Amino acid sequence: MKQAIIELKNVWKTYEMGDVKVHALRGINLKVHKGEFVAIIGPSGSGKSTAMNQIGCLDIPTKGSVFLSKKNISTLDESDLAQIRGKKIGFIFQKFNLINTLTAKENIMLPMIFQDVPEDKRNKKAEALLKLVDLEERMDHRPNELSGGQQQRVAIARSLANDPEMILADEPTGNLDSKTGSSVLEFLKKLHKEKGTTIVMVTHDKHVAKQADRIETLKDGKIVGAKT
Amino acid sequence: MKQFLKMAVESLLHRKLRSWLTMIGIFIGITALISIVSLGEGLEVAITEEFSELGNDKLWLAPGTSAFGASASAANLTDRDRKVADSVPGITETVGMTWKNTKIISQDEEEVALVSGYTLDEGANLWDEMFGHMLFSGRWHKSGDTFKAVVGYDYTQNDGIFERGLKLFDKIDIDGQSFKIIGIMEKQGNDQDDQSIYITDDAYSKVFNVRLEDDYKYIVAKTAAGADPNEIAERLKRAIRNDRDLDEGDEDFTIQTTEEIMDSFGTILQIVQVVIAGIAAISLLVGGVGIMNTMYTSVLERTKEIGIMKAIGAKNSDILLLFLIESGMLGLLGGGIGVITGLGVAKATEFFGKNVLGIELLRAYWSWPLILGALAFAFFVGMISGVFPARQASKQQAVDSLRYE
Repeated sequence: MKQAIIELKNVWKTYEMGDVKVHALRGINLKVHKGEFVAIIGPSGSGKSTAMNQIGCLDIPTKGSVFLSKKNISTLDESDLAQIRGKKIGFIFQKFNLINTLTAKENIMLPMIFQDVPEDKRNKKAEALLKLVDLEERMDHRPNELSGGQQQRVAIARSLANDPEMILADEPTGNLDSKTGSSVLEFLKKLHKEKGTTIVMVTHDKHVAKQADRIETLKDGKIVGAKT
Repeated sequence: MKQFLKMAVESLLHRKLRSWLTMIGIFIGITALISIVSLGEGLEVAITEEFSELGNDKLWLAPGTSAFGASASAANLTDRDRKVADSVPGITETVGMTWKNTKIISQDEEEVALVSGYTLDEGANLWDEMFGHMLFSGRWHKSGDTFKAVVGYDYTQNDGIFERGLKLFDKIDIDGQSFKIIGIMEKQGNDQDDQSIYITDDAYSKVFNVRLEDDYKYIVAKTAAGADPNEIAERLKRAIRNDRDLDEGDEDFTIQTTEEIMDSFGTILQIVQVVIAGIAAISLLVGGVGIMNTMYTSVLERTKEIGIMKAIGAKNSDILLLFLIESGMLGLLGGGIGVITGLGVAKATEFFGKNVLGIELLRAYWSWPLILGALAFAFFVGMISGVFPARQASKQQAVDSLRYE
């Protein structure tokens, strides 16, 4: 049986807005196995972002459990969560979310700094990753000196810095033109195929979602269907 | 840590103008602190040097209960006291002196000057020992020199005291009596010394129609080589007390060793320094509040950045450290510039004092403990000011911060 990287068991997330309780997630069950490429799709307001926060261990559920590599993370505090995220999950965001004051290379090294990776190792790894995303020439450029596509490639390289067990991509093509978006998607697919990287991608775009092995559809805080 | 330092620098450079403005408060505080302490220490060193030239083996006997300004009820210090002092074992020589402001005339130009008289007898050696090296040219009095004067440096300068500077062997009129100048003092760098005139007890008594030996302002006693001046001072105190028939504690005179005089100057200087440093500290406090304000703004601005860093693995302690280093750096940089300008201000004051005001006592003094202490303090102020903003930053939830636009 394939090993589950992340598993959500009856996960509820409820926000209290004054007296009103808003259930963003209503008992989600989801399992992502090692080596899978899963897309989570849903219209806006469906609970996509909340689900992504749970999968990415950015937040803990109000009810239910989240297991990352069989470890229940639902009860951990902020710093422990950060540690786990840094080690096991690589993030790719819609708006790239690079640190503007740092160069491309420094951005890639940042997750390694938080994991106390020694400097020479950090340097080597960052350079290798820059080569992988074909941006060696741009390693000393800051984000505002790079195009959107280049920034997203730096972000992809950053997500791979600590050899995570899973990459979580939140609308990775949302801020890119279609051509650049496709090339980023191609790159993710290649990563998945050639290196067996586990990828979870959250999107509202069916065409983008189609690139995945499996599509899970969210609606009103519930998973309403899976398609492989 | 090294990487965090680098990140802090990048971040400060990224907000250059604001960083500079923030540093101003710390910069001004440290500038004030350094320049004041530097000049204060310099003054202390200068005074110490001046006193040690007079010798640590001297005792200073003055009427009244305080060496600075005799009280009205004090009994005069007279030749009788001097004789008592001379008889105290361990005292080898004594000299008595007094002074008075009086009218002086040179070539129809009239001025007022401080004229000092001193006993020219067995004590002449002691006088020579204390002041001999301060002569620029000529000599001090020897026995038989009645209407002869030694003058301070300013008298030799054109437009110093008189329009035309005086030379050796020129005449000067003191309170109606003509004196011949036989010695000129070196420049001492303070008005009191540089504008003084010294004459013998004999001449003093004749010119002012008083007996110098009836009213000394000071009797200086030299203690024997190897003797402990403090011990001899006690002995002298006892001897004068007995002679005046006073109880212990009722002394109407004061005896101080050179060291004690230096110490009391030092204490006054320290008090002045502490007061002014306190004012400088207020500026530092204001600077600290400035840093705090900037850091709060920075935390708010970088909410998203904090979220990103937390998402990719930054622990609360990492964020805390990052912001603390940044605020500490603001303090340290402000302090660094403050140290440099502070020493510059002190040097400039020294230059101005020496060349414009003719005050040699103003000296800029610096030491590594002073500089490093100031830098450490500035860094500390920065760090402390950053504690609350940094805590706020570190406690932000990744999921909320990421959503912040």
